[in-house]
Amino acid sequence: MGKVSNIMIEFNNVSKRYPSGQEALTQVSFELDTGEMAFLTGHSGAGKSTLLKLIALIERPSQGQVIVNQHNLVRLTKQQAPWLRRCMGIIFQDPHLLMDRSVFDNVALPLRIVGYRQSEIGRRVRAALDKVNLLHKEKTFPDALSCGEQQRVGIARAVVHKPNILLADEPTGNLDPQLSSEIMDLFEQFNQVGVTVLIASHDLGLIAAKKHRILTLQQGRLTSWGA
Amino acid sequence: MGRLASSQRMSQPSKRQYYSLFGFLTRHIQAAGFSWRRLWRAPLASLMTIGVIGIALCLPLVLFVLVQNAQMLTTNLDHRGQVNLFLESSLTETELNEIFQALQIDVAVANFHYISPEQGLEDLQRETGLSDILQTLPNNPLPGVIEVTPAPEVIQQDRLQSFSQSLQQLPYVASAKLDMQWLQRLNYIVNVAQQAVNALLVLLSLAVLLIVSNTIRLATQNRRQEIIVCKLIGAHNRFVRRPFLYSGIWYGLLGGLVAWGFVTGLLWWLYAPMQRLVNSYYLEYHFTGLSWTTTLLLIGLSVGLGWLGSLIAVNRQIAAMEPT
Repeated sequence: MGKVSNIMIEFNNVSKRYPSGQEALTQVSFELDTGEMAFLTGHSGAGKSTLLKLIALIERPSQGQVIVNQHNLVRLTKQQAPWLRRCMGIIFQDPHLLMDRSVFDNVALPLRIVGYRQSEIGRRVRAALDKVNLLHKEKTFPDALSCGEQQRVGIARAVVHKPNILLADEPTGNLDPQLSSEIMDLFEQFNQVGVTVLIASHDLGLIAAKKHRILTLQQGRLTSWGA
Repeated sequence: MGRLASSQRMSQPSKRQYYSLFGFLTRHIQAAGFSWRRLWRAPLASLMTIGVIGIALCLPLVLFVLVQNAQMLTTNLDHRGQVNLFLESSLTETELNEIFQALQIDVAVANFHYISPEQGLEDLQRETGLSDILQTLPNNPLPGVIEVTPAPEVIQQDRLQSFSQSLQQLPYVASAKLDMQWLQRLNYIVNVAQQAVNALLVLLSLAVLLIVSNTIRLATQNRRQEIIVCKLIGAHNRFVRRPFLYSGIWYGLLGGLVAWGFVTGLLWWLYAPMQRLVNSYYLEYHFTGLSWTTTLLLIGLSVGLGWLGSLIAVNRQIAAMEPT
């Protein structure tokens, strides 16, 4: 598979102004290579979530271009958004699990959406649960799990379909330092097998311990994008 | 361009698998099974919706079956198309034979049956139980009667009226009576009833549509969170709405079966009194219940209404629920 470009995520002078008039991002430009891992940091309200939402096509930029996996998102229609989202895994601070389904069914959801066979679903879901050390909880319902376990189920769901990109918005926000560190290790493991990872976090202590690029947002402007 | 050109890695199922019959069936069976299980998570609410659908469809259906029977009954009567010849009184044997011969050579006559005045009196006594009164009469007031059944062509070509008039011309016939007017009126009444049943069916189908639509609309609102999560991880509107459409189909199917049960029960309950009513008119007629065709049409209609009702509810709701 000959690569035309080595860039997975590219922002060109992107600004985002919400209908309320609030300017969340101003003239943001950066590139993230395929297989790279980076952190996105800044105070709350600095525009971290907005930036991730632009990548996942949950929001659209008011100005500038966002290019993800060689697709110019400006040109993608609303109907094409699901196809884009299938090549990424998204992890939230609140893992957004469906409480009326077992852990297994929660993790299987992305595969069911794409239309995998039942046997294949079983194999992949167990592999993903094994990765986050929750294989023994596959029949449990989410409300019987601890915060950390719920977050790990959310991660298993985000990676079960082997996405190219992993986006995480404050994934360790509710967790103690020990668990946070374990989860960061997990992200690094995914990164090592070639997944592009972008993690928004304000936990500077945790980020500094890792040797990855840090993008810093201040009031909607990218103030640093070095290592 | 429906999908993204590249970006599908080896890990994705191939397009062939996605669009294959197998993939199609898998997704539908999964959605159908999922909605079926969900239906029984809140059994009381589901049963109430199903019950309302059943009752709404049962009403026009019972009336439909009754009208259908009335219609068949009147067509049966139509086809009897008999002409009664009332003869002059005190005819001799030869005079009678003269009439019989005239009837025998008439091609428009299929067959005829003579009832003598004595036999007529006997029948009247037996059938009405008025024997005491009849016995007080000084002499038999009844004329001889010949019941003439016309040939099938006469009925088919609607020539009963002229046939009756031609028989009137026969010698010794006092009058030929073709009493069709009451039959025609009965026909009109049955037609009115049928139109009313049709109108009722349309109205109550609309009611079923609204019931299902409202139930499904509430379900989508209750599951807003789930819909948004599914969209976030790459679900199309099609995928999200499929289980809701199956819910509508299940409601329709079960509602239709309930309606069928109600109708069958009601008809069973009405059977004896209706048969008595018909027998009191000396008619040979057996009531027919729901035919297989009607049952299948009922279930089909009900399923169709369930599907359409949920489609109406779901399309706009789901398109409007986007992740933020």
